[in-house]
Amino acid sequence: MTNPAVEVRGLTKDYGPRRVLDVDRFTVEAGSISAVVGPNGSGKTTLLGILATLEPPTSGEVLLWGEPVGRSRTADRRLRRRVVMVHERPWMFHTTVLGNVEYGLASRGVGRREARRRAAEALERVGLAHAAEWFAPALSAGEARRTALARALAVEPDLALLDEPLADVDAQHRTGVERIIRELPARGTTVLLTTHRLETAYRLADRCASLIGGSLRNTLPDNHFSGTIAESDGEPVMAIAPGCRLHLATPLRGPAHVVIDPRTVILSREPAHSSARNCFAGRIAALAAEGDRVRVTVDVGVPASPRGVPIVALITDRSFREMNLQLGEPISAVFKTVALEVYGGKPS
Amino acid sequence: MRWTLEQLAEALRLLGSLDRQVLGALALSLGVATLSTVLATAAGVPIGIAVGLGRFRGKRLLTTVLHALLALPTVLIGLVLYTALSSRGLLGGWRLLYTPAAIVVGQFVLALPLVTALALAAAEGVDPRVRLTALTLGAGRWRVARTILAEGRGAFLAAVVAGFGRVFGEVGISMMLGGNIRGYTRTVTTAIALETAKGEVPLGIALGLALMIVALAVNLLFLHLRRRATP
Repeated sequence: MTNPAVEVRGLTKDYGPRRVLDVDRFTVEAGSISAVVGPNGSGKTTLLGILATLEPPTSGEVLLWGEPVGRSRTADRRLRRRVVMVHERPWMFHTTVLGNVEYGLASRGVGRREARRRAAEALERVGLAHAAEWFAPALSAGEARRTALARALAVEPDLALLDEPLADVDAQHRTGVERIIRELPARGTTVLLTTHRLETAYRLADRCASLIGGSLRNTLPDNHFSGTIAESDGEPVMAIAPGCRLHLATPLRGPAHVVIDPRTVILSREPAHSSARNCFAGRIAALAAEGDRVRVTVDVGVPASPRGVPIVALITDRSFREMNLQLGEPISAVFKTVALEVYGGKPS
Repeated sequence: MRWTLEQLAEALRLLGSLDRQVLGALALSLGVATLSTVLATAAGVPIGIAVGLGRFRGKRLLTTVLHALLALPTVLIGLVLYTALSSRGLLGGWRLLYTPAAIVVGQFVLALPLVTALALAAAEGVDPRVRLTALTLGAGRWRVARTILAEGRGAFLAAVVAGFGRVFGEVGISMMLGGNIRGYTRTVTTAIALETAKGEVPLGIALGLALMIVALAVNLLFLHLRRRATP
């Protein structure tokens, strides 16, 4: 096993009586890009703030490159200089864009001329060389984010903590920012980013973890869908792909995340006539053994959804053998509305 | 009515002729007020930032005490310092009583709580992201403080202006600690009090007008600085 850049053990964070973070174990391998996926308010920013040593945890231990955080002020300062966090809504200092990018270099005692050269180079990378002399607080949200990225990368950190790095970045610059993030490990920077979009995590990260309600899992939850809960015939539904609608039992409406526990998904050869409100016909796209369980991935997407819509069912080895399931075989995935966990959304 | 107009006309004549007495008092008023404000700023702003950003036991108590000190009457400060500075007092050996330096000391004591309380509020009013951004970019404590000062410069400047305003117009301290000695410790405010009491109303009015004009000019200057500081 390689050396982890970040190691977290038994971490909790309370704000008053409210526990916002409860992470048993979490590691980020050095030289990797990791993503933490979770809805807004799931504790992603708090986690990054703690890893950036900007905020102390309530309990638990954080190790950066094997060195525990919080032992002494000088040690923390040394560690902090290897880490940079880019906030979701970055603060722009009241000076020029170039002045902002030079800030971290000046803090490290880099000479004026060298700082200017490196800052200009970082601005070039994010496509803002032309804006060097602009007044930074007047930038648009997307430009401010790219400036913040340049400001962080100019100091060549060993660990970059990026909070929602692609939010607010317009489509034109999205690929550019993604490329910059992808290139970071080659430049010696480990990346941990957060996102509320599963696809961003899949596209950028080597490893994904999910953070829901403050608790972190080192894998993405299976059957995690994002969408908008709307009403259809007086019943809450969420469209997860063209022609695919989940039936829900929740008073919540609006943008939300839905997670279906794979153990509650039933596989049926016949289109089911049952009390379950959700029944999707599809084909078996993948089979994987997991101990005495079998993970069956059913693609229930219609041809119009090119990426497919995978729904994972976890069944026992025994029922797998009895049903004699085959790859590519047509099958229905069935689950009850009450088996769906809903995150986010607002009470209607 | 006629009397009032006559007094005013005489006052304007005096002011127009730039009476040496008026100019001298004005220069002293400006001098001691500026010096005491500078000293109060040098002490109050760092304390305000440190308390505003710090998390420690007794912070609320300290803030409450600071706000209570804002209501300190100038006469009381004058009295306390008078007893301390008089020749048999605790600091009598400094031989400061009835010197401009005594006025500076008194005005410093007057301005310090105000400047500190407003600087504290200014520091707390700065967006918390300023500190976090500075820290994550590797800034040490001094640089963080400097950055907070720079990002909240408008509010910090307002603290300085308020401090200057408080000391520039006060009478009690200047009177009790300065002694209103002509050509030495006579400030504009003590001169107004004296001349009016003597019946020299036109001179009193002339001094009052001069005080007002200078105060206005200083505030306009600060306003201009503030506008430049907060685009």
